[in-house]
This record gives sequence, structure tokens and C-alpha cells, in this order.
Amino acid sequence: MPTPSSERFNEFFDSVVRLSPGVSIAQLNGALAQKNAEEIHREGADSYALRAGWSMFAQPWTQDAAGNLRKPLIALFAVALAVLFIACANISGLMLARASQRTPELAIRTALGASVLEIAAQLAAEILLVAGAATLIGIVSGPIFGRLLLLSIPHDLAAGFSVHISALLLLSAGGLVLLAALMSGFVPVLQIVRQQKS
Amino acid sequence: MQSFLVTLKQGMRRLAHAPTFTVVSILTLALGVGANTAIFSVIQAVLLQPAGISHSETVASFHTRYTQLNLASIGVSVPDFADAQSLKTIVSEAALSDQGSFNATFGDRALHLRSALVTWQWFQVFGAQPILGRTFLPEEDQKGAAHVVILSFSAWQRLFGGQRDAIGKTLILDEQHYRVVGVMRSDFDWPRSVDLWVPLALTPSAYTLKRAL
Repeated sequence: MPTPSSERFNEFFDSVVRLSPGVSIAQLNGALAQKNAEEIHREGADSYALRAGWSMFAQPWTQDAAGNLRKPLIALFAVALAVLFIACANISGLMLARASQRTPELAIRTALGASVLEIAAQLAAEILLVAGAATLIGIVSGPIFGRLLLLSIPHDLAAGFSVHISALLLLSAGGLVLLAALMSGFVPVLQIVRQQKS
Repeated sequence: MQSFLVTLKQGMRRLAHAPTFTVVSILTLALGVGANTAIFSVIQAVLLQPAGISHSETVASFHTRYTQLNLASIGVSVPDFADAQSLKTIVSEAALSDQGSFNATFGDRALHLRSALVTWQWFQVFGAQPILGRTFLPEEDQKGAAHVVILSFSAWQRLFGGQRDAIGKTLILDEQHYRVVGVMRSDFDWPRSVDLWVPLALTPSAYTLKRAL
């Protein structure tokens, strides 16, 4: 029986690699699988690598860096999204209640010649104004709460990470607001358009 | 454009007429957006773009596993590393590290410093730039080369009080003289909480399997 090469299986180093531009981790893992096969072939019959189920693999470095923080963060994100949906549903309800109050006003506007489109645009503008103001507050206060959140995480998990405001962050907040405006405004606008038509 | 501005102005007037509705809905939405921005800012800092690392999505960690021995993820050996490094079209930079520590003598002070022994490409893999001096050269990462050391930002502050003339100074680590060649930025902290990096300095023959056969 060939003895396992002590150098090959003396595995205690940490290792990181940077991928060439355009190369995915899956491609690296494919190439490593080829190297695994070469090692098993080199050892021949009764290969130690084969018996021990040995293989080399790569994964995104951020996965290592985040460690145990990864899963709770994703769960928290899901919860926060749910909170946003609930907030949107609430606004939607408020607007519906308001719209039914405003039926006479809107009827007069229609009688004076306003088209359905103009009235819908009017409501959409109100929703966008509300959502815009909310975003401003959200973007300013969000990263502050984010910092507090990092501070509240046990030190050995959160060490070395810091919150920065970036274009990606602002962009994602902007996207959230459009989504929120769309969700909370859709039903009330639809309701009013239907009322005007009848 | 004109009519859009008029619509917006009218909307504002309308909202001003219903202050309760306006304030409640703005606060409700702000809560939702704020919570998401907060979590997303943390996710970005931790998972997407950790500070100090350029293009972190192209950095991979390299491990081995033994399915028959219940080892899901352990480190790598030098021959494993040589295999990864040989994939020239896929891997642009690869580096190894090992943990260590030094008993340091600095002036009349004795300190215990946490260190990482790294191959010279370590900082290139992460795209990490030094704030002072430079990172390691290939010839410094060889057995018998003159001892050099790169300090972390916090070690630089503690030992040299943030003095720019720290470059070229000598530290005595485990009774050997090490010349300071660089200081890293405070946001580069990998492996976590090390005070200094020194070259791993493996012999070239360690990278081949020939010796083991």
C-alpha cells in the first residue's frame, strides 16, 4: 500500500486566491476537480485521497469572512422586507379611506373637465411625495441604525466590519421606495379610476 | 415638465391639508425603508463589500474536505496550493497564510504580538494597499532572506505613535531583527486582529511533490 504523501495531506495553511477577470468560482472548482482526479490517479490503486474522500474546493471569500453572521443577516433582511410590506399595506388602507372621503371632490374635478389620467397622476404625485419624504428619513437614519446593529453584534463576530454609505446603498433604497410607492398606491389609484368611470 | 411641476405642487398642497394622514404615512414608510436600509447597509459591509478589499467578489478562499473523515472544511497543504497556483488562466493571484505570534522587544518594552506568516502575494490577492511603504517583494519571501515585517495600522499607532519614519526601523521579534517595510491601512484586517505580517519564506522545493515520493 502506498503511504499517503505527508506533504500533500499536511493541510494546515489558510489560502486565498483572486480569480482572473470574468472567471467564476464554479470554473475554479471545475479545474480543482481535475486536479483532485490527477492526485487520485497519481496515488494509483488504494489511493489514500480516494479512501478518505479527500478533495480541494473553493468558495467565495466573503463567506469565510462573514462566518456565522451570514445566516442571521439574511433572516433579518427577510424580516425587514416583511416590515416594509406591512407598512405599504397600512398606507394603502389609509389612502383607500381617504379616497372614499374625497369622492365628491374628485367628482367635481371630473365635471370641470379633468381626465381620469390627470386624477390618477394627481394621486400618484401625492404617493411619490410621501414616499420621497420617507426615503429621505430612511436613508439618513438607516446607516446610523446599521452602525448600532453592528455594535450590538458580539465583537468577535462583527470585528473588522464597518458601515459605509455608498451608491449601491442609495440605489437600493431608491428602488425600495419605488416598490413601496407602487405597492401602496396601486390599489387606491385603481379604486378611484374605477369610481370615476362608473 | 411644467404640468408635472404643477401636479407636484397641487399634491403638496393637498398633503398639507391632511397633516395627520401625511405624517402618519410618511413615518410608517420611513420605518419600513429605514429598517431595510439599516439591514442592507450591514449586509453590504459584511457580505458584499467588506472594507479594505478591492472587488471582494473575485476573491475566493481555498480549502480541502475529507468526506470519509467528517471534515467539511479544513486548510490546505503546500502541494494543494501549488495545484491552485498552477491554474494560470483561472487564478490571477494566490497566497498562503499561517498564524503565529512573536515576543517582541521594542525599546525597553516587551510585547506579545499576533502575526500572520504569509506568502508575498497575500496583499495582492485582496488588492490591499499599504498606507506607508510597500508590501512584500518575491525575493523577501525566501528562506534565508533578510527579515522584513509589515505592520497593521493599530500596531503602527501603538509602537511608533503613527510616526511616518517607522519605515526602515527595526523591530526585534523572537530575538531576530526585522526591518519595517510597510504599514497597512486600518481597514485591512485579514487574518483578523493581527499586529503584523511577515513572509512565510518556504523553500522552493516545498512547492513540489517530488520530495514526498
